[in-house]
Amino acid sequence: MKITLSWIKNYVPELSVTPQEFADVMTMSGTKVSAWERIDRNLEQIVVGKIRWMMKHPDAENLTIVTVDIGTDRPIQCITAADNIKQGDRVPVALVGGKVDRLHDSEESGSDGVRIQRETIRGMVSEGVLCSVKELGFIRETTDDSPAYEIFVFDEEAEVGADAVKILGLSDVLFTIEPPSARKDCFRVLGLAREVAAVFGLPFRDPAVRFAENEEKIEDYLTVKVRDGVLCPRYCARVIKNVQLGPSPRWMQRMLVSCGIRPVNNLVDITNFVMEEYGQPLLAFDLDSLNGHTLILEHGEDGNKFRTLDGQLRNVGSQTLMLCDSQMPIGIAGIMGGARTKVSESGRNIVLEAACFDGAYIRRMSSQLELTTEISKRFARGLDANYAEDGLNRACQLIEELGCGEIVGGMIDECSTVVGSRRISFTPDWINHLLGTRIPREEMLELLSRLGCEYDPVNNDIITPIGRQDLESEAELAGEISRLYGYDKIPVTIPRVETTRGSLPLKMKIEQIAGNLAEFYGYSQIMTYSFDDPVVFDRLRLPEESPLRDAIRIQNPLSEELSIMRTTSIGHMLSTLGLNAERKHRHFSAYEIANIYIPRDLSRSELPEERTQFTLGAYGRDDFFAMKGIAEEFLRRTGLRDTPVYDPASEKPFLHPGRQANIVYDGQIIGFLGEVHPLVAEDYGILQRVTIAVLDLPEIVSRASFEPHFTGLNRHTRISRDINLLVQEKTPAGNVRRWILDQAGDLLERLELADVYQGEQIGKGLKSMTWHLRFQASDHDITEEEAARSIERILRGLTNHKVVLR
Amino acid sequence: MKKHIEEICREASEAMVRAADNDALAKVRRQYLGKNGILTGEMKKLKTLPVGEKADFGAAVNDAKTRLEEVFAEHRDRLERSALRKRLEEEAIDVTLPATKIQAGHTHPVTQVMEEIQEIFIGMGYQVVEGPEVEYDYYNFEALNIPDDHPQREEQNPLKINENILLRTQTTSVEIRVMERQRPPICAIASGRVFRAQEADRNDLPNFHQIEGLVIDKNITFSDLKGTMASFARHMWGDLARVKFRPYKYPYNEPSAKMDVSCFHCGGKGCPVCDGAGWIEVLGCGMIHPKVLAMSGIDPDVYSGFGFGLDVERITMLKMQISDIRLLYENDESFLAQF
Repeated sequence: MKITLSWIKNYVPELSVTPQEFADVMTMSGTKVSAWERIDRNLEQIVVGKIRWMMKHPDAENLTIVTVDIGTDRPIQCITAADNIKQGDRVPVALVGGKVDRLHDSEESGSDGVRIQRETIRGMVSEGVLCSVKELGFIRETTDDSPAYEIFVFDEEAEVGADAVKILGLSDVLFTIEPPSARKDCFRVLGLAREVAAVFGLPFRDPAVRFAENEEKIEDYLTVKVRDGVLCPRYCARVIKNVQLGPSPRWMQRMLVSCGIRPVNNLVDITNFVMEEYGQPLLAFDLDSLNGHTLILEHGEDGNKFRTLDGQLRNVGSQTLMLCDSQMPIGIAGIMGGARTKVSESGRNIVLEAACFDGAYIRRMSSQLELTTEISKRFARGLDANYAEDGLNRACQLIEELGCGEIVGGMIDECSTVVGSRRISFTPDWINHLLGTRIPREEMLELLSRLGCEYDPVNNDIITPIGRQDLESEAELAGEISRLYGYDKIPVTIPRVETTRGSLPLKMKIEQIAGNLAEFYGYSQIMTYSFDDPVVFDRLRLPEESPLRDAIRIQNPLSEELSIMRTTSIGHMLSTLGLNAERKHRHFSAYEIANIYIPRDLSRSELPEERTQFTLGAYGRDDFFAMKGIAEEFLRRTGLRDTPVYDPASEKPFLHPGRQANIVYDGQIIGFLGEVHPLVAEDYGILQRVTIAVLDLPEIVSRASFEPHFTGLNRHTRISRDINLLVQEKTPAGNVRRWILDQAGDLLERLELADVYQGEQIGKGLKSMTWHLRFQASDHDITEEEAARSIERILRGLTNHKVVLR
Repeated sequence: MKKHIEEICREASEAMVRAADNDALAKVRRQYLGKNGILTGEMKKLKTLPVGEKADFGAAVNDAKTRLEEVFAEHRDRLERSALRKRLEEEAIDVTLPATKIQAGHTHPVTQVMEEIQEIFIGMGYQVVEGPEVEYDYYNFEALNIPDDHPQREEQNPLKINENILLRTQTTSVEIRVMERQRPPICAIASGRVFRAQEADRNDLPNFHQIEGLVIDKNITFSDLKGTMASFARHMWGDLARVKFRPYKYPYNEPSAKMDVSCFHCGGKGCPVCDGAGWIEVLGCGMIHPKVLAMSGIDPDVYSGFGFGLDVERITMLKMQISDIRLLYENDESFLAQF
């Protein structure tokens, strides 16, 4: 929100600070001042000049030579193209060496202003510039009433030679303020000024609202019915007779313009002014065009449409609260009115509405209609119902002051649900205990009184001011006291907590092991979204009935591509590899440790199961077996010491049908790995072989153990033997390994596959395998004969499986 | 005879000197000392000699043999030494050729910062905990004193699954879960993903990480919070780091604050990293609202506590001078390899 220093000073007259001091002190008290600027930062040496005489430029038809008295001995000569001035007018003149915000004929925004120089225009000297509002720096908000090309003309009483900037009230500062959203009271000038007064410890001057009503009764003019008191807790209205439209006074225009609001006419300006000052949106309707002189607040009907003031036809329904006359809707309550009841000419009678609507409802409806307005923003924040009456009365005062109309006696006040003050028991000891301070109770009471709190010594209660609904309990009082006392004055201590032991849960330890290991082998960690694109399932060639397709949908996704919670980590891994391939990285190895989200029930009333996946992906360097090695080393490091079983029947459609396997441990699938199907890889833009592996961490965490123990060292001699076998081409090495182990007996201490060979020297349909065997006995030095007997047994066993010695 | 032996000996020695390598040397040795060698042949003549000369001749041959063996050994050593020298000379390498690449992978910058923060708090006795990313509305809002009509809901812009379930917008939800299942004293931090319905741009992502901390015990005060945060800042940004607490208003904390730390880039003088302010906002914190304690089953008359939370990506960007948050989730190798 934007506000000028002068507007605040209206209510805190004793405030005397530099803009930077103001910004710092307010920020450190909890009201963040994010920026400030001097409105007159680009205005220098601009004085009030009086036009002595004027003559046409001899050499340019549209230029006028003006001689201006600037209160010095010698008048100066200026040249202007404007034609709205006459002899005797008092106008702002920027002198040579002075500065204006920008020249009226330039489009560029003068962030540093324009320096005025002595110029010769078609043979005539110009010694200064007569200023329009544009030169004075408020073009953005200029109204139709004072166009940029016209010279600004002062009232008669402006003293010739005086500082024009001061007279225009432009020596002001504009602050950009971001109050915490819970401080609803600070989103209005009055509330903010009250806060400023409290922070600086200065008196706060409430505006005295007084105005005269005529002898008539509002009930003779208007009937109001509110059909939903929940969504509309208060509806106040007054009737103004014989409204006179015209420009609002310059002081009001200036205040609005400096806050970025465009002046329109006195009535609109008054409602905008009060909306800033009181935070209360006000709406004016043409009473004479209201059917039945009645206002009814009720829900619309499904399928209805309503054309709002901006000309858009909008779908409204039974959820929408509509403001209607006796026959038809005239506006969408709390959001925007319609064109029919707009006040557009003088002499009419009008209704001035000040209502309060449920904030959550307005938020919902505003987003449903995709229509956010100045008033809907105010209501959405949650308005205090007390503001309705106060704001309406303030508007009436201004209407009277500006001669804008005659106020009919009485106010309609429907529902009038008003939340009053609250009583909170005053507990200085508890507050000091919470803060770690020793603030005297009198000081606490003084700080609270600055906020408008009263103290009831009989009941030892603090009575909160109206408009501070956020003050609910002792805790909020502690908050208010501490920030006004100053956070920097609160001591700095270290908690004396009973000893607690810092620790990392097992799951996170395992994640660290996974990460360290992957990085050791050249894999870099990636981070991708938890969201996924439903198209991923097709891209991974998953069949229609695949359970992975049963993903949780987000109700309000940012886009279809981010509309589900991922059920597989493969999609993002492949996209990442694809991106790196596209950027010409010859090889890339990546890993991610993140969750997938598996729904637990169809009705989605339970939270999904979040399973952390350790996903590896690589192209250009590591192949299937390299990745298998990492997977196995990871299992070993987490205490899963048995060799896992690899089941080629894993049936993953996104993997190469002949190069994939489930990783099975203890009979349970704990992950899978494989080469990505060439069509899938190509779809993701990778034309090389891609290998991925996924380890399902919950399965690993539940089996992990970190209690290694020494099993002794066998120092007896070992005997090594290689055997070279002829094996059927289709026989997996895993089978041969198992057959060897079946027959080997206890003496075979290690078994390794050293080489597999297929070629001309071997018969067709066969392959040769070289196995390395190492024998050792636990209780004696093994003999050659013992090893030979074991090998003999192994070979005999292998013949049953058509495996023979080569 | 003896002279003849001397002659052989001299020839053999000369031949050994002439031998260019070990093979040639071995051949000379075989020629003279081998089973059918010349000296061995001379020895065979011993039988034919008269008894009186036998002893002398035998001694002379043996003596020659010994001497030749010595000469042989000497030349063998010499040749081996020169052969080794030659080999080593030949094996010289161009040490300026490029190294064999050892390419270890890189930890993601966000993880690096997350682990750094975790380590600091583990050292201070905090337990690391986790909570669900897809969460009940109750834990994310209601139990944090953020009822249905609270403007904070809109500010946090949740992605929803249904009426009761959403993607958590803040790790503060984990505070409630910890309070529900654990009795004080509690010293815990939680880290993890949070989600908001905000379009990705230079500063924001719909998916990012937070770290949350929570301390509850008897007699925990706001001054303890200040001390803990200041100590964290010194661990994180060095002993010279100063902190500043600005009042704020979180519905679940009262009093609550935003903490600024003196710019860790310029030390507070003002630079582009801190936007010239000299201070950088790093976290939000406050005393846990008694209402929140009570709702989670902790007696606010006995216990008090504080909580704090920070955005990890934001700290990472500031720390590593990354100007666009989207780079963190793009995962380009050239980016990751810089950390």
